[in-house]
Parts: sequence; structure tokens; C-alpha cells
Amino acid sequence: MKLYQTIASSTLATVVAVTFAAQVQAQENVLRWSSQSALANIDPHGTTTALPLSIFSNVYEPLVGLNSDMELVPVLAESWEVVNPTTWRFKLREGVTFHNGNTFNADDVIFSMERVGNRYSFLRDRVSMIEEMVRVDDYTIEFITREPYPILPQMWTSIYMMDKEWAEENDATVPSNSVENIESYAGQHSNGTGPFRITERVPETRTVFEPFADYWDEVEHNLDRVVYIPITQDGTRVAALLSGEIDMMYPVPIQDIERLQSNAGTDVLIQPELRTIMLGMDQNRDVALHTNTGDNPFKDRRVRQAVYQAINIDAIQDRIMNGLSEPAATLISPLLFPPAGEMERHPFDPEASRALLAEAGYPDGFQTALVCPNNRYVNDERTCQAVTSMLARVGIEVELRTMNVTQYWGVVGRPVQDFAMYMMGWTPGGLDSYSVLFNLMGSWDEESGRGRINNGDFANDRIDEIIALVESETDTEIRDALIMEAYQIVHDEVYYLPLHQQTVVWGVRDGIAVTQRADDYFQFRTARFTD
Amino acid sequence: MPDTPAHSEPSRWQRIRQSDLALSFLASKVTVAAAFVAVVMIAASVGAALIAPHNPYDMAAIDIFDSMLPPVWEDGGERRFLLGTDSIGRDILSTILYGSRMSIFIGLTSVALSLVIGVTLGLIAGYRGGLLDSIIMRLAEVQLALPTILVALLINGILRAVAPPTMVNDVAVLVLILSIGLSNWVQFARAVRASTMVERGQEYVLAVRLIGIGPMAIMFRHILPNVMGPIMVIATLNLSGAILTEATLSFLGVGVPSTRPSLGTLINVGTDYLFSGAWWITIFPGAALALLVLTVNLVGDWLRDALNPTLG
Amino acid sequence: MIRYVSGRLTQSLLVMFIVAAVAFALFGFVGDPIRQMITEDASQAEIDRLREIMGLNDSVPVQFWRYISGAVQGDFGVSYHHKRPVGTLIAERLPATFELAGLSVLLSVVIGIPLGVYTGLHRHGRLARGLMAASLVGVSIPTFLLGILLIYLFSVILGWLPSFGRGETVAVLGGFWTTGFLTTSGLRSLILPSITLALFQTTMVMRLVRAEMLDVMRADYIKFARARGLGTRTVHFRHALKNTLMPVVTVIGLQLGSVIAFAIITESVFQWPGMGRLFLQSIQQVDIPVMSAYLIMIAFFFVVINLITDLAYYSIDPRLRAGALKGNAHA
Repeated sequence: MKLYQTIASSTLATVVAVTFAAQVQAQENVLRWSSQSALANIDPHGTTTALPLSIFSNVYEPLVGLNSDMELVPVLAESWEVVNPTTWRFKLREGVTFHNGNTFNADDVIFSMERVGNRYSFLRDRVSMIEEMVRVDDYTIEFITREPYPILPQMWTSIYMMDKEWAEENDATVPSNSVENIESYAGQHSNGTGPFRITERVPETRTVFEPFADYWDEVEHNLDRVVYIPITQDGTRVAALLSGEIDMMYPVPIQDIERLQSNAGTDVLIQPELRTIMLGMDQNRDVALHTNTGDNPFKDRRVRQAVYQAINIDAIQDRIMNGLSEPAATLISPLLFPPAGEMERHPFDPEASRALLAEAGYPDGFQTALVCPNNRYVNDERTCQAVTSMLARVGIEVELRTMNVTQYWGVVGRPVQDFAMYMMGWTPGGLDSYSVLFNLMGSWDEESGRGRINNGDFANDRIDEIIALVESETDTEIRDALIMEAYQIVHDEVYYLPLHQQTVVWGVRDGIAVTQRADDYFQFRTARFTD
Repeated sequence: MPDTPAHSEPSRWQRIRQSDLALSFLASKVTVAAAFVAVVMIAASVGAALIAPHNPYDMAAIDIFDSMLPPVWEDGGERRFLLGTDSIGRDILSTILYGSRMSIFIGLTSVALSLVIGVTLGLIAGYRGGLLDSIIMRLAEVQLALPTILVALLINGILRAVAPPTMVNDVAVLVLILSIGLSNWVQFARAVRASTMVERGQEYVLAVRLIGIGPMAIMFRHILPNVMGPIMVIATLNLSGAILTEATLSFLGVGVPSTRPSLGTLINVGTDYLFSGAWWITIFPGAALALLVLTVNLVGDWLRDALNPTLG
Repeated sequence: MIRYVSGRLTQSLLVMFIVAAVAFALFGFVGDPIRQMITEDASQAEIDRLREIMGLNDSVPVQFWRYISGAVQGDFGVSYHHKRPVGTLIAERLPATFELAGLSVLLSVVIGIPLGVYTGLHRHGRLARGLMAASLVGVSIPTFLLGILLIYLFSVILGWLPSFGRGETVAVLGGFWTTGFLTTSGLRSLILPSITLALFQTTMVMRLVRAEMLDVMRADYIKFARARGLGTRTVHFRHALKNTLMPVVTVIGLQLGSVIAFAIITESVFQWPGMGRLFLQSIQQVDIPVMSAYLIMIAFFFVVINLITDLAYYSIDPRLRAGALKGNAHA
């Protein structure tokens, strides 16, 4: 028995000692932060996913970037000009060095663009407009496009520059890909021009960044080290911030915001996101799928408006989004297109909704189905559940089908479009209304790709006309008026049911200041220890 | 075959009633209590539509403004919702009742499926022997080469892949029953095969065979009733396992959708809110699940000890 | 002997083949990997191009053959999501899973066997009954719920232990293996996950040992031993326990396999950077190469463990040898 006791007590002692062992406090300013992705591969040209691309922005840099107000700013390019509609001349910044000491110049730009254009690169379509690259001198380069491409700089804000010599020395001229079973050297090593360089990587556990001493630009941070720790589950990530295991993290689940705010020592940063969440309806088929009316009720504007007016957007904002959403009247955030802020939603009015349904010939409502992703947008499934219950109250019995995003796109996207109603979110490419008009509101045209994401397949000739006009209009005022006209048509015809813009929420420990951005890019150079 | 068990069972039940079984049942207060709780829970969930204060499936009756209410005894709780509400305003007590119904239904049907498959294959393997026996037992070994949860995940994946994505919610329950049922038949088959091989040599089998009764009739009418003991034990123990497997699959995101939740789904959804303080969304369904599994386990455990102490 | 061993080997290979086929068939059709790689605004041309270059337009047998022939050479392809060789991905995560699983099995044995012996010997004792009841509670709590509750209590409320990950790890054996056993934070990180994972196994071991004890205690040789006047302790430990251990050891071997499989749940709750989590993530990301490789690996562990167990039994138990001659090794 004595032996048992000894073992038991010594085990207990060990556990206690281990449990209470004080962690050695580092004297350095080490910022530990967390988000979802594990960063298994750090090839800057190997992914289109936002989170890794945002993390790479601390290590690699683009020619043109976005500042925290989402405006284009020069980064590795000092300036750029449109020589003629198909020729762009970029003047590169001089005196920039890569982490390995090599000098950045035009050769690196051409190399990087070619690398991104590799046939196995997922980012290829962002540079495919380039017909030819002309190296004018060491620091000047001309890009010749096939056709006029007005939003070229906007497309390149996540195209990062890589050192040609380094890539060639290490046989990393092709991005990692699963087709030829290539694991690029650049997938595990990095050499950018950014303010931080990666010094250590433990897969699934941490990635360590240290400031780059010879960085070309002024930096405001006072960090000695940044440790990125991936934590996939929202709850665990919040718990880690609360328990002090990390200093900063995002996204914060909406239901945990209050807890982080009320907890002494942590706080949240909140900023509206650029993405707009909406519901769409099939307005093309003669008989709507999963619907019991024998026809397609959504072809009738009155039915679409009835659905719109049955949705209590304030209740969704208040109860589902905890106040952290901005109800939307159209499909673009007023942050990107200020006139959109003047539009007003059709009012929530279940009575009017029932009346409209009766007028349209469905006095007792009908049965239909709604497809929703359950892991894509903030509280997407709950929002859909709330909509389902609101529609039930005006007599529209909705069968909710939720699925993970992998299956979701296969169901909602062309050419399957297996839905009566669906939920979707959209951030306009290039942050411009044209993308909304062209992709979401134009009628489907296979040749040009117009209406590609108009999954409900409605068609309005005037909108198509406006799209053509906006494409070439250079006068901002006229252009804005045209865009507004299209948005107004969509509103009046109720082609979509806009819901809201979500918010970007970051959780931060007290004593650390960071600059939050609407695109969720965390730039270490803006972070400071304040205590 | 309704007349067959009726023919052979009364005598068996009489035997049981006067046997150690009944006595030991009554002697074990814990088992009596457990059986009572299990029966109450099963009855309550079967009668969910009658008992539940709200109907969580009726979307028109759900008000988003009722969401996230705490239990009645906490600040902000309302009398309408005894155990509080979930994130979209469903009454927790009602969702637990409906959720238990779903869990128990999936558990029972999947065990029934395992039982039918396992017993049939076990009888055939044990009675016929030879090549058929080899094939069935090799099949069993292949399956035993993988843990149940993985087999269930595999089968689940296959079935989900076969069903079109929009149908996945509609067939989710069926998919669960099949994946759990198909991953648990081996125990039944092995036990029945072993017993059958013993019974096959018994005099009564030889006797009926001499009368000219066919092998099917012998297997199902004569041998089966005599191997029912171990089958019942395995079935009871498997029931709790099946309910847990369902909960785990739902937790891993391949279970019942949240519009028609089971207990596992409720816990899974609720964990998102646990750290933010809304503990009731997880804890009550979690407690219900643990209690259900525990009581079924207690009954099964006692049954095993009483009927067949050596059954692995 | 040779016939038996070769039979078992053939059977193992067959199992492996079936598992590989199922793994491949299963995941080749769950969702569309392309859809996971792209965003809302991907063009159809882009999607078509990716399908083509990833070989997803090839016929299923061609894809399967490509897979099998690679797998045999240890090449499981490059992960769609991570863009790294699957073999490397798994090798990096193997230590995390093995340390967690190993510690859990150790815990379950160290705690489970004594409890099992005790409850077996004192079948009707108050404490033994209490322990049996407690063990039932143990198997009745879903693993994921237990893990979440432990995190809630020890990490969030008390703040004693880390809620995720492995803590600091140290590379040993020339960098081949990373271990969390050599640092304080590594050990602290192991506590909650290993308890979570071990609880179910502990109760299993305890109940198994108890059942074996009960069985053995009824055996004739124990009765004879008692009749010979040997002391209770000698009977219990020299004879009973010894004869109980063989099946128990076997089961522990098998437990290791199922612990590795069950680690999927624990790893996902504790963000443990192991193979199970890799597998779950790969399901969500429809990362076919990773999923199939994981399943094949788990099957491989099981088959090897099964094979070793069978052969061990075979060499120990003469009755099996007799049975094997009649082709009836598994009565």
C-alpha cells in the first residue's frame, strides 16, 4: 500500500507543480495572435484564400496595396500611369531589399508575374489580362493588356513580389501544386521585402515572425516578435484570449463579444465589413423547384416584395447579430458606394406582406425551400432559421436546407442552381459597383460572363444597358447616377432581398494597440505594446 | 413469424419471471431506478408531441425575440420557457423532448438493423458453416479491423455522397441509421454464430431435422429462440452505444440537421454558446443524453451480469 | 504454421485493399474539391481548368489506380489544401497523436487494471459497486462534451491549464520526432486532452479486467489452488491475475488503435495538432489525398496490431493451433 501512496502522492505533486508552474515572462514584446488557418504552406502564390494572403502581406509585398481606408496606395511601385488604354507603366521603388539582402528590381516583378501566371497557380486569373511585359529599365516596367482593363491595380493588391535569384537558386520557380505533386521550396521558406520575416515554423502549432531590420519603409510597431497560433474553433480561440494564452485574435463570434468586453483585460474592435449578405430567388424556371404551387411564385414582383416585407431585419440585427450588422437596402456597402446609403429598405410589414400574397393569388401562402451555407458567413444558419420562422408567420412555409460551403456552391452555382431561394454574400471585386452590376444584376451571358452570379436568372434590359454604359463611362458623376439607377431598379423590382453587411470583430488584450481593417488584413507593423 | 415467438416465448418469460433474473432485478435498487428513469425518458420522448410545452418544429410559433433566454430561475428567465431558449428562440425543454425522440428513434432502429443483419448472418454462418461461414466471418474481420466510429464515418460518407446535396437533410436520419446499423452487426453475428454452433449439435435440433423440417425453419423457429439471451444483452448495450455514436457523428457535423435536431445536434450547436455564458443550451441536452445513455447502460449491465456473466 | 501465417497475411492484405478502395470511393465524391479552392467569383473557365489539371476529369478507375500505385510506394500525393506531400503532413502530426494516445492508454491501464482487479475480487463490496457505477457514468458522457466541460472548468473559469494545442515542443531523435514531454507547457497541455481521451478507455479496461477476474475466479484451477490451502493473496495475484492478463494485454493493444481513432474527437475539441484533426479538416476541405491516406494508415495500424495479436495467441494457445489445422482459427 505504501508504494501506491508514494506513487499517488508523487503523481499528484507533479500534476500540481506542472499546473501551477509560473510561465516565464518574456522581457521582449512578443505578440501572440490567432486565427483559423493553419498556414501549412507559405507559398504566396499558392492560395486564393483571404487569411493566408493577409498573413503573407507582412512578409511579402505587392506593387500596389490598400491602406486601412481601403484606398489604393503605392507599395513596391512608387507610381503608375495609364500610357494608353492597354498599356500600364509602373515605376518601381528603389532601395528595396529582400530578406536575404538581394535588391528588388524589374526582373523580380517580371519573374513574380510569370510565377503567378503559372498554369497551376490559383491566382493565375488575376494576372491573365497581361499580354506582354516590357522591361523599360531596372525600375520601370510596362504591362500591356489584351483589352482595356481599368481596374488592373485593384486586382493586384495581393500579388506578392518574390526574389528571382532566390527562387532560381532554390528551384522554387513554380508554385506548389497538387497536380504535378510539386512542393515548392517557397512553400516552406520565405524571402520577401515585407517588414517581417518568418523565422520559425511548427506546423499546426505556430509561425514566428521577426522584424526585418533593413525594411525600406518607416514602421510604427515596437514588436520584437510575432507568434501566429492557429486555433480553428471559435470557442477555443475566445477561451485562449480570455485566459491570456494569446494577445489578439479574430474573428470573434458575435455571441462572445460581450464577454470579451466585460472581461477586465480584453476588448474588441468592431468595424463594418464590405460584404453584403442577401437572399436570392429563382426567377427563371416556369415551375419553381421544391415549391408546391405548380408555378413559380417568385416570378411575381408582389410575391418577392411580400417575402421582403415579411423579414424583420431589425430583429435579425438585434437578436441574431447582437446589433453588429448594418441592415442593407441594396447589394453594396455604403462604404464602397456612398450614395447607396441614401436608399431605404421596403418596410417590415407582415400585414402588407399577406395582402401582397393574396393579391398575387396565394392567399394561404405556399411551401418552398431555402438553401443556406452553415459555415460561411457570420451566423448564416441562424439568420436563415430566423427568416424561415418570419416567413412562416405570413403563410410561406419554408423548408430550410443547410449545408457546408463545399457542397453549397455546387448546389447554388451555375449550372445546377438547385434552389427556390438561397442565401449569398458578396464583396465586389476591385471594391467597385461595376462588379456588383456585372456579376449579380446583369442577365446571364455566357460569352462575356455577365450575370455569372445572377443565380436567380432574372433579366432586365435597362440594367444590361447600364452595365455597358458604366463600363466605359469616365465621368464619375454620370457613372454614379447610372449605377444608382440600376440599384433603384433592383430595389423596385425586388430582384434580391438584401439583408445586411456583417462586421469584422477583432479581440485584443489590453495594452496592445492594433489597426483594424475592413478587409481583415492584420498588419503587424501597425501593432504596438502600450504598457 | 408473429406466431413463432408467441409460441415459444411465454414459457420463457415464465421461466424468467421465476428465475434469478426477476429476483436480482428487484434486488438491485440501482437497476430498478435506472430502468424507471429510462422508461420515463423514453415515454416522455415518445409522447413529446403531447407533453412538450412548445413545438420546436413549428417555425411560425417561434419568435426570434425569445432567443437566448436563460432558465426560469435565472435573471431574465421567463415562465413560458422552463429551461430557457436557444439561439433562435426554441424552448430548450421541448427541443430536448423532441431531440430525445430523434436520438432514441435512431438508436433503436439502428440497433434493430444491426440485430437483423447480425442475427441472420450469424445463424447462417453458424448453421451452414463451410464457405458461407468463412465469407461472413472474414467480412466481420474486415469490419473489426476498423473502429466503429470510423466505419460509421465511412458509411456515412458514402451514403451522403450518393445522395444529392439538397437531399442530404431529408435523408440524414436514414443515413445515420444505416451507418450506425451497418457498423455494429458484427457483435450480434459472432455471438449468434457461436451459440448456433452449440445448438446445432443439440438433440432437439437433430430431432426436428429428422421430422423433415427445413433449415430456415430450424434456424428461425428453433435455434433463434434459444440464442435470444445474449442477443438481448448485446442489443441493450448497443443501444447506448448507438445513441452515443449518433451524438458523436452529429457533433462532427455529419449528423441530423439543426432544423430537426437530435440530442447530439443540440449539444453541438450549443457549444458555440457555452463560453459566452449561455450554458443551458448545451448543458441540459448534454445531461439528458448522459442520463439516457447511463440508464440504458445500467439496465444492460445488469442484464449481462444476470443472464450471462462471461459475455464479453 | 506457415499456412496459418500466410493465410493471415493474405487476409490482412485483403483488408488493406478493401479499405483503400472504400476510402478512395468514399471521398472521391464528397463535394467537389474545386469548389473549396475557389471563391464566389471564380469563372467557369477557371473551374474547368483546375478540374483538368488536377486530373478530376479522368475516369474513376484511372484515378484509383493512380492512387493505389502511388500509395504502395509511400506516395499519397500532395494535399489539395496544404499543397504539401501528404506523407510529410502525416509524419509531422504523428508524434502529437501518438504521445496523446500513448499517455491515454497508459493512464487507462495504470488506473483501469487495479480498479478492475479490485472490483473483480470484491464483487459485492460497496466501493466496488460504487466504482462500477462510476465507470458507467464514465462511458455515458460523450467524449466531446467531457472535453468541452474540462476546458470550461480548468481553462476558462479557473485558468489553470491551457485550452488548446501542445504547448512548447522539443525536437528529438534528430528532428524526426517532436515531443511535449520535455517542457512544462508541453506537459500542462497534455493533461486535459489525455484525461478526456483516457476516461472511456479506463472504464473499458476496468470492466474488462473485472469480467476476466470473475471468470478466472470461477475456474477449476483457482478452486484447486484454494483447496490446496494457498493464501488468498497468492491465489489472487499469482494465479488469477496472471491468467487474466493475456486477454487484457491483447485488448490494450487493440485499444491503442481505437484510441488513435477516437483521438479525432479529442483532437478536434482541444485543437491538438495531430492526425485526427488533420483528417477532420480534410473532410471539411474535401482534401481527398489526406483523407484516404489517413484511413489507410489507421487500417494499417489495426491490421498490424490484429496480426501481432493473432500470432501471439497462436503461439501461446495450443488449442488454436489445433483449430488452425481445421481452418477454424476463429471459433
